[in-house]
Amino acid sequence: MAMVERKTLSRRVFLAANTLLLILIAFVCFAPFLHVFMASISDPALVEANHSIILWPLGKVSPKAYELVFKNDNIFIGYRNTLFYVIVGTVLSAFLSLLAGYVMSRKRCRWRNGFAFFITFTMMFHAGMIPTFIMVKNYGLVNTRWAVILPTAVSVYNTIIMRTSIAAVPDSLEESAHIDGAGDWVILFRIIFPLVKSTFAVIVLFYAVSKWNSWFEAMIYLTQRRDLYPLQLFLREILVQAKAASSADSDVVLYETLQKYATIIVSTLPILCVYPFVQKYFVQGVMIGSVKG
Amino acid sequence: MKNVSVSAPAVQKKTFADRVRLEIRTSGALYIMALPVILYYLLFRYIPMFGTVMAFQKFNIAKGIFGSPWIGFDNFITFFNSYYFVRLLRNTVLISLTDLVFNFPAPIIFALLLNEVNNRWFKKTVQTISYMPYFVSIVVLCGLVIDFCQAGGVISNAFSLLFGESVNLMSKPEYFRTIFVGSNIWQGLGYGSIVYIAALTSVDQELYEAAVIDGAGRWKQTIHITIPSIMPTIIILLILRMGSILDVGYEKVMLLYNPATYETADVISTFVYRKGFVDYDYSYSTAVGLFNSVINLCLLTLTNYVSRRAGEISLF
Amino acid sequence: MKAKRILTALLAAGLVVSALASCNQNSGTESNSAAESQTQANTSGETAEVSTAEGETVTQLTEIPLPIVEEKITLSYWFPWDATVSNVVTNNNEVMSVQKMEEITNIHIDYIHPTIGQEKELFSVLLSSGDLPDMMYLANGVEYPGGIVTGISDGMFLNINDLVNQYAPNFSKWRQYDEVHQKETISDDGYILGFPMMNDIPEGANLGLCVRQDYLDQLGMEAPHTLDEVHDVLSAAKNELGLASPLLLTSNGVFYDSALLSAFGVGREWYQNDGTVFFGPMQEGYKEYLTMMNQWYNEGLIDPNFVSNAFTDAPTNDLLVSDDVMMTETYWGRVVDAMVYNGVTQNEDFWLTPISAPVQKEGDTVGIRMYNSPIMSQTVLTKDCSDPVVATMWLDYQYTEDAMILNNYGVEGETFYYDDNGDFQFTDLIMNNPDGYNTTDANRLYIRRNGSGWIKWERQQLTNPTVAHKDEVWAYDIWSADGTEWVVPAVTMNTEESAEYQSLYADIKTYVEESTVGMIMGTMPLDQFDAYVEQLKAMGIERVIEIEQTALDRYYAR
Repeated sequence: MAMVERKTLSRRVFLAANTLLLILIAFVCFAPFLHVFMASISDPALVEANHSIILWPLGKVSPKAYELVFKNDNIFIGYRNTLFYVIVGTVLSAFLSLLAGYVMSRKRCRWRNGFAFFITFTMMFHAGMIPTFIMVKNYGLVNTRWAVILPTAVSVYNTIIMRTSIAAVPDSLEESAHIDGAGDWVILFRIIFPLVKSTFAVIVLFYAVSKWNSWFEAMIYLTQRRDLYPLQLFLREILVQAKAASSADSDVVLYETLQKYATIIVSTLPILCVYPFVQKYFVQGVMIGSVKG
Repeated sequence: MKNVSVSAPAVQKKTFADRVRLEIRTSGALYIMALPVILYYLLFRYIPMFGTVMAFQKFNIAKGIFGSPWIGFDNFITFFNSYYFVRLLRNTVLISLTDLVFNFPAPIIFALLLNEVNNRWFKKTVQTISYMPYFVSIVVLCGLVIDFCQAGGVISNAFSLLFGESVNLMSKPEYFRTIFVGSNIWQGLGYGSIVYIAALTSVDQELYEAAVIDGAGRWKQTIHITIPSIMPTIIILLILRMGSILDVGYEKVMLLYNPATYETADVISTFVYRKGFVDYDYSYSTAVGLFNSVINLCLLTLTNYVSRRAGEISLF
Repeated sequence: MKAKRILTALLAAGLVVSALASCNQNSGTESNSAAESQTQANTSGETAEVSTAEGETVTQLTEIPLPIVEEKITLSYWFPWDATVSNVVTNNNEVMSVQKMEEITNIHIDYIHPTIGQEKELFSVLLSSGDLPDMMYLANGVEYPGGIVTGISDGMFLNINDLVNQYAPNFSKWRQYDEVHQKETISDDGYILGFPMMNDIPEGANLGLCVRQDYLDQLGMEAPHTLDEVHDVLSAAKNELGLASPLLLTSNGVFYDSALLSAFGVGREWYQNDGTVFFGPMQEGYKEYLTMMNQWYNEGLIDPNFVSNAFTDAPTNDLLVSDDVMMTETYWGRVVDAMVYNGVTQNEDFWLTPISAPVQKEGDTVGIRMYNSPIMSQTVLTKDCSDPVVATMWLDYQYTEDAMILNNYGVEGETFYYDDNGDFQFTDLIMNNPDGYNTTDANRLYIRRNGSGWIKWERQQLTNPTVAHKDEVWAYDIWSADGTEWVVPAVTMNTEESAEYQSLYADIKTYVEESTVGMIMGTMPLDQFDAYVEQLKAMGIERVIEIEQTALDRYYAR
């Protein structure tokens, strides 16, 4: 932030307190992740005995739990599929939300409020699992990749966020472009888009995370295509063990708990790495004030 | 006969075809842009809504939606007559409102605090770390919460000064809401603040410069520049939030509640889940869902209306 | 208004499309009887006049021919499984014993495994899609709404009575093995339910109370048998050893097998005395139990965190090995030094001794314990079964001795051998797998284990460390010594009863759980017990008892 600041005493105190508070918040937010990671490389018996948060490895450090997780070929199949779903799905969804957000923000579009109501209505009225399944089946999508991507292609929340951001761009810009003879496509991509990059980055992130974490559509629609399962679905199977079967019937498996933790790390680490890349779009300095009057 | 020359009038009456052509020429692109989204909602959201009629039937999976017998409002009456109806409704609303009051502003405040940080590296790091809990599986997170709040746990021990001994906070109905909303904040603070952080980047810097010249301190700048700039975002998200007032999801409540806290923790979704009706009596769960949806819609529309009258910012 | 017109158009479109959609669903109810003339099975074998379990006389194949069909055919089988298997294979067809079964019978089974943990949703979705596989194994909590019989009358499942009578000699013989085998494989009105996963003798009590022997030794005390002795042991654990949670109780306040409660003559939920059914939580004995537990809770003998421990049968490993626990319930495979053997605890002295359900005074007996019926999950033939006769014969073959050996122990010489006593023993392929698999994984890789057919629960013992101590202390013997006279068998209800039962019972169950836990912890005073019973009656418990009683009467009349 390149601005002149008078550092009064109260300001200094505030900054110091703020910094402390933020550090505390950061620690509290980091702790559960640290716990999961440290537990996953610890000694299993010590982890079972421990009843509080684990901030450093207990006992001998060992990657055994990860070996067990990766021993299963499913993980690699899952990664490959998820990558497809996330990339294709995010591009499609972000693009659609951008278009719809643009349309809804145009004041000359008389049906924009109706459009907004049209999509918001679906946030509250859900179709239900069985009717949706019947329709998706009728569309011929069951047991194909598209059954995972299409039914959740547009999020009302993200689209509205996009609309709000686009609407904040001053009308004068659109008007001057209009005068220059530009059509809607040009206005959207040449003028509006560069100014709303940070929000677009946000919805790209939201869509990517949502698709990375999703498993329900794959579970319902890919009944006979385990080879198309996303990562989360395989991991969920590991995490959700049918209690009766595992406790009464099988032998005690030493690394059961650790495997669950390793599973979480394996499934969240990649998506965590995405954030720093979008972060660079949350940067000050976009000169909106370039058009006066 | 005199020629009354009727020359071409200055304003031509436009035919319908003309109007259509004009509309296509000026806004054709808008229609094309909106089309895929409209199609999506029609195909995947509206058409399947036919299934909502199940709420008025005794749904039999073999007979399907058009073969199952109609029972009118019986499903709703069963729901309203349940011994626990009032309690479930009360708990759902109270938990949701508490979450609204505390969990809605928290990310905003967090974003504002981050905004005050000068050191870019520190800001980025805290931001990244803050959204990590969102990714830790809800099962693990609730496991940690339970560990901390049980007798002998970190938080219980801290509170032992009040009770004289470390008690199981998870068994006290009066604390459930606090624990539930608290863990919501823990998990959602960072991730929820992203929208506001992005919105803050588009605040016009020149406004700040002018304010400094006018002698306004940081606090005044925040009140008069920063917050009003992100107000549209806040209002819109608030309206959307009101549209999910009765949606307290069962998964997290289930992980945190137990028979000792049913009094305040049992919500509509968990009760329906326990009843097993989610799995097998779709009519009943559809009816309950419909009830939820109607209430949510009313609240959202009301909030939207109030907001539009008060400040011109509205969803639709 | 424009919006209204649009909405109306949408609704109309929706109705049209859904009308089309419902055509895809199961609209026709095809004939339930077998299409014998079209079967590919080799049915030319010898037949005989036999008598069924119900006393009818039918003409039946004497044995299943191998291979069952001349040309290999495929049957699809919807088969819920669990993560111990999915961890090592991606489909049952990779398991060695399954491949062998295919060779022998010449029938390829296309196993369809629903995602673990989501079986119920997937089941509903499958039913609503209208395209069913040939066979479905209703396990992992999956049930047809209203019961299998409703499924038959709805036209989703086939009525297999004729098929079984003609083509299933092995299963028919097993149905006559004893009363339980006959009664639990058939519905009240005489429909054979399906082909179950079946034991010859029931498993016995695989869950029960156990106490920390190492702590008992430290205290110089004996394993308790009466309630007073239990109290003394727990008190000593608290006061002398300083344990924070001597009794690790379930989160709903009662043990799954009604231990401790049974000392007062009542069961945790349903129990019977000579055919009359009772609801445990209403009885005077339940009040006595709550009074005792409340007192123990106030003395600090019960785990203060018991409500939030989130288990209703047995605790998770970390709770089980906790140093603060003196007594709890768990499964047979985790007692004695199993937890040490598996490395879950590093405390070498850790030892859990199983004990039978305590009584009020010496000489009393209890009539309720963990009870497992020998008849378990059913496989049904669906309306879309392409060849019901072949399916019947294949499923019937699973009840033969050869199939039992293959499905439970694998192949002689490869996965098992006979020891000097003639008993089954696993080979090193399972016990010390050369590829590094532990015994559980090796077992799953080579042997199919569960599913419809003759299953031996004893085979689990071959890989469990508690068997090493079988001569000194054997959990099954100790826990099974308690009687089962009060146990209510698995009854079935028809659709209306079931719906009424469900809608009344949900509220009742919530109220019982809350009150039980409240009275133990003292947040609900014990003198409110009578008001609590009155409230139960107001909620309709007497009608629920009536329904259960009628169902029980019908069970005995089968």
